[in-house]
Amino acid sequence: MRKIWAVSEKDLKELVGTVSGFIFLALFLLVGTWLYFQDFFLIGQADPGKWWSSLSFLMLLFVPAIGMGAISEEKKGKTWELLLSLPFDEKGLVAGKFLARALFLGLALVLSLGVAATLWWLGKPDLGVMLGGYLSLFMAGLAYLSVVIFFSSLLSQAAAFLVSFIFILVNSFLTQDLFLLRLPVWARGAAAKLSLGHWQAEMAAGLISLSSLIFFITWISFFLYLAWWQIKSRNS
Amino acid sequence: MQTLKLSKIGKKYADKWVVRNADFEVTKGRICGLLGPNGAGKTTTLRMIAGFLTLSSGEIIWKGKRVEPKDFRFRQSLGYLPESNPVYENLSVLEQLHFLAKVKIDDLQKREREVGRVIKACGLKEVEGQKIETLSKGYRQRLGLAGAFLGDPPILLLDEPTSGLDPNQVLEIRSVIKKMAKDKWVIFSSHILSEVQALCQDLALIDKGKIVKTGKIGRGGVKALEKMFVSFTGGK
Repeated sequence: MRKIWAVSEKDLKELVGTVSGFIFLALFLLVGTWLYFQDFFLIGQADPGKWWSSLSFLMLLFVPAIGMGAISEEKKGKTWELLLSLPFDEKGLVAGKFLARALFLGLALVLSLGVAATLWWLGKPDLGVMLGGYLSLFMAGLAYLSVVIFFSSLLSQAAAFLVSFIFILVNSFLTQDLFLLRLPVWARGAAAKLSLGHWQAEMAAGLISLSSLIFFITWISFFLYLAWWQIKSRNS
Repeated sequence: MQTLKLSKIGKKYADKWVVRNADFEVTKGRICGLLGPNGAGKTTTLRMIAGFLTLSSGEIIWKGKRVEPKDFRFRQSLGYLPESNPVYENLSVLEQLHFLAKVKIDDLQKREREVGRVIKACGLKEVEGQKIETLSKGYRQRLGLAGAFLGDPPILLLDEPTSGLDPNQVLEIRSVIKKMAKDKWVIFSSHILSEVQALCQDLALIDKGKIVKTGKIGRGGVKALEKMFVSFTGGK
């Protein structure tokens, strides 16, 4: 764990301490707040659902932005050779990279609590819904992150950003009627359940089921496993 | 028994052998020059010993026992400076060394001691707080060496450590290597004959993935070495 934390700490320093990391974080918070409040006083409703939607949409860009260089930059700078010849392995590398960005994502969500507190003050929404909403965002963010880390192990930084953004966007269409209505009736339920959006919406409604947690954990493990496998494949 | 023996080690990608049946010994206290033209297989050979690449064939025997490069205990005995000296540009000298020490050395006090020791030994004191991106090539190379020397490993693998340096920097790096390499098993990879002549006592000449000549370096100077290099590597 010490070695994994060493990698995470190094990456966190780069994320928090560099201009690009600061810009990503500031844009996430400022644009998210603007998206939410632009028509807030016109509608006159303190709707947490709209806040989750704003942040969810921004995470489509924010998470690929913070994860795109996770492995690709180590490969490009050849520092992965240095790391993987130390008493350290590919699993530790993937875990360290994931942990750093998960903490950075957590920091971004914590910093957005100011808006959530305003919502709480104005609309007194149900506490379960508020907690479920934040948990759904965090879990969806981790799931996006696992996808980005996989593509970062496979592609260059810019390509990893683009491909993971498209992948996550396409996945979100799985819950849309536009897509679902083209499928046979029997396949619609299964297709929707493959979407992160389906489970995220369930959690955001305050329903934290075991199946949704299992789905997120399986998704994250699967993509991190693919990243590990991809790094191992340098030998073949 | 005081040898590091590479016994018919090889690396195969798909159907192509990049290194085949590489077979030579390194004696404690004597620097072995792994000499060969560009693309001969020097870097691949070192990457296999360092555990960055897996062996497709053969074995490594150290002090009479077979060792597994993936084994963390063996890796703790290794100091590796990869080709092109990868560094984390955004970190300072101290940060990079602390990071590597955290991954490599278990004991906290030893870690602190070792960072101090290698900084002193490699002459990095005056730039220890400086960002790596601002360092000259000579200092970067010293930093790479300092990383390899962390933990005082008994085996050193140095892949072209003087490549691209000016004559003064070459002399400085040479003197650091000589000082640190005492009583260790050292493989010094290079394609520069004068470097091998100046630093090494033994030689393994590699060409097209095969070891074509091993032995002691004679007193004939660079001319004799050049003659041998040309005759064994098919030059004119």
